[in-house]
Amino acid sequence: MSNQNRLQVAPTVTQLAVIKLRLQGAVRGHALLKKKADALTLRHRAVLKAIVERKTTLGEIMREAHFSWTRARHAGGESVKHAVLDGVERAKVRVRASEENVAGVKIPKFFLRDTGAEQRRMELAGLGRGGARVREARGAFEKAMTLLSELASLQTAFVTLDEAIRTTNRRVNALENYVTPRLQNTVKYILGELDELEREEFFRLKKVQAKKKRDVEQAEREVAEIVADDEALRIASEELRAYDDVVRGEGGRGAGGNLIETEQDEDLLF
Amino acid sequence: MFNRKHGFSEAFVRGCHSKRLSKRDYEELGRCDSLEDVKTYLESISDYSDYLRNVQPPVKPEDIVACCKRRHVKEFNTCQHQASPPLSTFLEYLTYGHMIDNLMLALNGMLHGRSSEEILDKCSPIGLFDSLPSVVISGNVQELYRLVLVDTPLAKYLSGAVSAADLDELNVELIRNVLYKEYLQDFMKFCSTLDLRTNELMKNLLDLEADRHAIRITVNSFGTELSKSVRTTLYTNFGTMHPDGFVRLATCETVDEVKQVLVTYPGFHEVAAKDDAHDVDRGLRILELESCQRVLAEQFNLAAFYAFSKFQENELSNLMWLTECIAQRQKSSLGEGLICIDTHL
Repeated sequence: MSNQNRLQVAPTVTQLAVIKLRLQGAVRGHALLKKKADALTLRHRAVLKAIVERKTTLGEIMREAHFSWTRARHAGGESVKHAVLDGVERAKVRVRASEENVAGVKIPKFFLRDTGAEQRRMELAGLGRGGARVREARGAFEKAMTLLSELASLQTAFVTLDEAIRTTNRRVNALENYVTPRLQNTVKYILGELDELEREEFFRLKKVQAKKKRDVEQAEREVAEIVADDEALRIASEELRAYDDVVRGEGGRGAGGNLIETEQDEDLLF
Repeated sequence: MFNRKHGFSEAFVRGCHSKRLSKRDYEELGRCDSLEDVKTYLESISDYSDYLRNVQPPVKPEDIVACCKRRHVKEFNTCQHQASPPLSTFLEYLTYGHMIDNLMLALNGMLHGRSSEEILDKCSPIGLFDSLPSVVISGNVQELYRLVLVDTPLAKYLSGAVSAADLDELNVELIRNVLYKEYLQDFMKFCSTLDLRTNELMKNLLDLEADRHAIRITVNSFGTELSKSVRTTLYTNFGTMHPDGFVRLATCETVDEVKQVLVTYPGFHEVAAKDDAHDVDRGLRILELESCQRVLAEQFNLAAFYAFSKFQENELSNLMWLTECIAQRQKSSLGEGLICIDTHL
């Protein structure tokens, strides 16, 4: 298990430093992303609220606008419809998009821009019939359009934020549940390995020491043995000599004589 | 004398008129909750069933309005085919209004480079004339006039009113109104050649129409770049308010001022008492329809045909309002646009 949930690294001190650095980074990143997710969620909720609000009013306003156009058609007959349709030269309002930055997420924002296109022909549309109504309808639709563009911004913001929140949350979770534990495990593993190594080293040293000691002892023992051998040899030779002497008859000294101090011994005279 | 020539047509028109939707019908229709219900109800009134049979669900407001329109066109065409002079000329005059609209449509289309089929689609069938499609092909006003319009009845209006310089884009609406003014004046002139009673009745109606035209232009030109001098040129040279009322209208700048002008005329007193600006328009329409109603009460005159066409228009706009209200679930505003003059005396 520990093998699965950790990085495949050589358990060295350098690696340990590197991993520790990474772990630190992951923790800090996690905190930051968490903050970002919170900010996004906050914004998301605000947007949602605004959308609901706008949508309820939009229904009303759109209905109003359409009805005011019906009024215009009623007042001006069918011809006014064509007059209006043909009266359009250039779009009076255009939608422009810009970007807004919320916690690093770029949210498109739409707003209407008056192109300032003169509606000269529109001015007089329905002069004979229903012109005032046409202008009213135009006002109503302008209002509706502003609201629509606002709603469009909000709606796209909603979708973008939703996506961003999901990504961020995924990252937060990944950091929290995968990367950080993995790194922690790795650190643990490396530390464990290092400890093991240390213990091994210690043991080895001890072993070496023990061996050395044993060696020394052995050597000493050997030396002692050699010395003992020499002595024995010497004693033996001494004894031989003594025996020789005895053999040669010049001493009644028996074996009970001091065999060791042969040199200083006065010859025994029988 | 009248009956021998126009008796059948008049009877036909009155027959059609008696089949107009009545106040009760509108009340019933107002209770419908969906356009399917409207359709069912209209089908139960035998006249509409022929037209509505082919309407497939889901029913759209345009479908019903289109049916109503087809029916009106058919009525009108039947009438026109029966007619002999002077009724035929009179009926032709009635088509000129639509013709002007069509011409303007074609002009706009020409300026935008639309195809002639597209334009003909939008044109009102009552006001079609043969050379209409070729308006699109002509490049400039002289050509337009020389090649296309010279054969149409509109030529005499156009020559007086429009010069080449006028045909820039702003002026299409102006041309429309100038033509309409010329048309009203010409119609008035024509009516004076008819029999006495017709002339009398038509004078009343056209006076009212001229006043409406002037008032509407005045009200609708507030807040636009239409100068006062140009505004004056759009007023007709007759009308109950002519001339001093028009002079005063020309200087008006708000709806209230218009109302102040209107109050001084007994006929418009009630209209001016309304609060909302749009009520003036509505009030004027009611006035118009009421006088049409009075005209229909009399017999043996041509003005009945005019009144008849006005009632047709009213039915169309009522149906359109009603269906749109139901489709957009705005039934609370139903009364705002419906004008029901009870047709059955």
